[in-house]
Amino acid sequence: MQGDDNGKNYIAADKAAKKSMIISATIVWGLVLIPATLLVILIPQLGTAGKVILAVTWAVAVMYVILVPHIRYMRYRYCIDEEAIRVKQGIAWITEQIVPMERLHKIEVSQGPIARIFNLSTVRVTTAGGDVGIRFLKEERAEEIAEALKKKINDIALAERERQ
Amino acid sequence: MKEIKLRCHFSTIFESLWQFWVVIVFMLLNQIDTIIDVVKDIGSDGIKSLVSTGGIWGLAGLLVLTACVLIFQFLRWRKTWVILDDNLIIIERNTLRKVKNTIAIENISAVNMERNLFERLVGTYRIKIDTNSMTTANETDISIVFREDIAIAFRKTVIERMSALKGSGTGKALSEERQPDELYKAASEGKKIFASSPKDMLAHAFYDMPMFSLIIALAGICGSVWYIGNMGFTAFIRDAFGGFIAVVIMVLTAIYNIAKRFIKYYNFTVYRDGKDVHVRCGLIKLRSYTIPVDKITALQIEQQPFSRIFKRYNVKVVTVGVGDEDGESSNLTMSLPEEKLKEQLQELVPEYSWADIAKVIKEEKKGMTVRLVKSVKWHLAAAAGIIVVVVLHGPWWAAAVPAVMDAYINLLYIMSHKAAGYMASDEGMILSGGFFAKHQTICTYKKMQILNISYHPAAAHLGIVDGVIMLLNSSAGLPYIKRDLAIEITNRIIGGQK
Repeated sequence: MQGDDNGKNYIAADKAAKKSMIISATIVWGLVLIPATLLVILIPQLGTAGKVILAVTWAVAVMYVILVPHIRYMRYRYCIDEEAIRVKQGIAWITEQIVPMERLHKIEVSQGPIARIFNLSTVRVTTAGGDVGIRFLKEERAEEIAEALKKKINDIALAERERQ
Repeated sequence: MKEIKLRCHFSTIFESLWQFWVVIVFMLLNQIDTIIDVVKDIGSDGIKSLVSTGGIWGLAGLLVLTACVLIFQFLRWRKTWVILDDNLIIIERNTLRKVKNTIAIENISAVNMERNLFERLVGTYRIKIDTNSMTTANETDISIVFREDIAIAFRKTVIERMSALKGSGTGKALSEERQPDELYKAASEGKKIFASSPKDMLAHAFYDMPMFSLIIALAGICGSVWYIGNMGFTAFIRDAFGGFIAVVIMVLTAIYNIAKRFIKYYNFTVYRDGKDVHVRCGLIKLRSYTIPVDKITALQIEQQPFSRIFKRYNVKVVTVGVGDEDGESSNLTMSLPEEKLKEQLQELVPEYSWADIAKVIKEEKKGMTVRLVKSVKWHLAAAAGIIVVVVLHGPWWAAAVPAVMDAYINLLYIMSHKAAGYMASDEGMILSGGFFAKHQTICTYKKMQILNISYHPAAAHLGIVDGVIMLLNSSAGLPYIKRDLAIEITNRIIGGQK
């Protein structure tokens, strides 16, 4: 899926990203909700207040497991061109990270345990001022991007050496 | 080139020992009542009481511990070597834990010298070496102590090798080495030196003082005066002795804050030499640092609240190797009025002459609207806090706590809008931000590493954005600006070469 913004060709995350986000959110919220629910059941002294807080937490969790991954997936976009890498993400508050190609120092491809199930990888680009991750990429696509970026870094370094 | 193998000065053994004793003294102070009792017993019953109470064992233990620390530090000193190879500095330590720290001279960004009171007494200098590495950007990579003449020669050799490695293509990369105490002699070579008088330093100490400590001190004094006026001094001492001690501590802290700055910046001297800026300051701990201008990430103009009121500015440099450690300053100037600031910056760092603080544009007015929208969550939290107090039947005045907190947070939003601003030129930007204190970061596009733009829903609706610009070991906030301008700035950052 592609989208056009300010004349830039932004690319959406792989479709498997949504499933990966749902599973990650389910695990995180499960770790919170299972002990919380057991506490409310086993300790009657927590009373109505405990039940109300638990109900609200469940509602937030359901929203984060069902709705939020869908919105995050819709919002997530990246763009790699000759000049820069751009990553747009967020839910209601959108942020855009822009990394000029000239500032790249290091490229790293990584894969978390959940991402591995869906064959998804992250390409992390490092500059002198921090790093930015291009997430939810199919493994082959991630390798392709990493290779292209490595080549670009080498070309820039060579050009720099020639300039000196 | 010949390999140079050196040991640190043996005084480092004792320098570490006093740190151990400071810890012991603090521990003893915590048990001051027991110590007083023991001393009283010795006074009345003689040394026998020390044996009978078991205090002698404590004393013996302390002496054994001191001896252990001394032996440990001695072995550490004896087995630590500083090796200056062709283009490498190697720190080798063969104690229980073998460590070999190798640094390529070409990666060194700063070789600074400093000495504290102890080092001044024993005639040594501490050499601090920093590299360009981002992972150690906020700490000193190598810190070694040598006898004065060895330290000067060592630093000179390292700087010469750095210059040689940089090659002739870069011109005079580093200036001629000088002993910090002889800095004034440079004047005879036609360099323009900016030296601060005691009056300038006192003024700087005052203008640079954080308002928070002054407000607390003033509030404490006013409260005490009110209490004494209404209840009398005897009642104050009797009923509010803790408060009296607190007021004394507050006043002493405020005085200490001024004195600390005065001592730290005593005899502040700065001058430009070739491609470096040399700075020297300090009364007890003399610091001398060299800043290669090409290694400067950004300049930061700081204005504490007093400076804002009296329109004074002081400039710090953001660079690897200077101001890395707690209490270390990275000042380029003392507090100065605008005209003098411009004059000094023109002389010291003409590379940044494009940056004119008079041309800083205030943040878009719509920015305040977005901040008001952002503050809604705090109003809701404050309202919830007030309701909880009322429902729990707490004392009615307790509801003032969330109300005051809400008002303070809103004041922060207003102050951040007032401080926010920018100036964008072809070379770089000035980014202004802060709350009660104002910080203006001057940075060229080529030093900007990553641009993070945020689209808050309210801001997006109003066609404005804000963000953060990531620099090497620092960052600067982008105020609310029009979206088109953000795109233009993005293009300039992308266009700026490394």
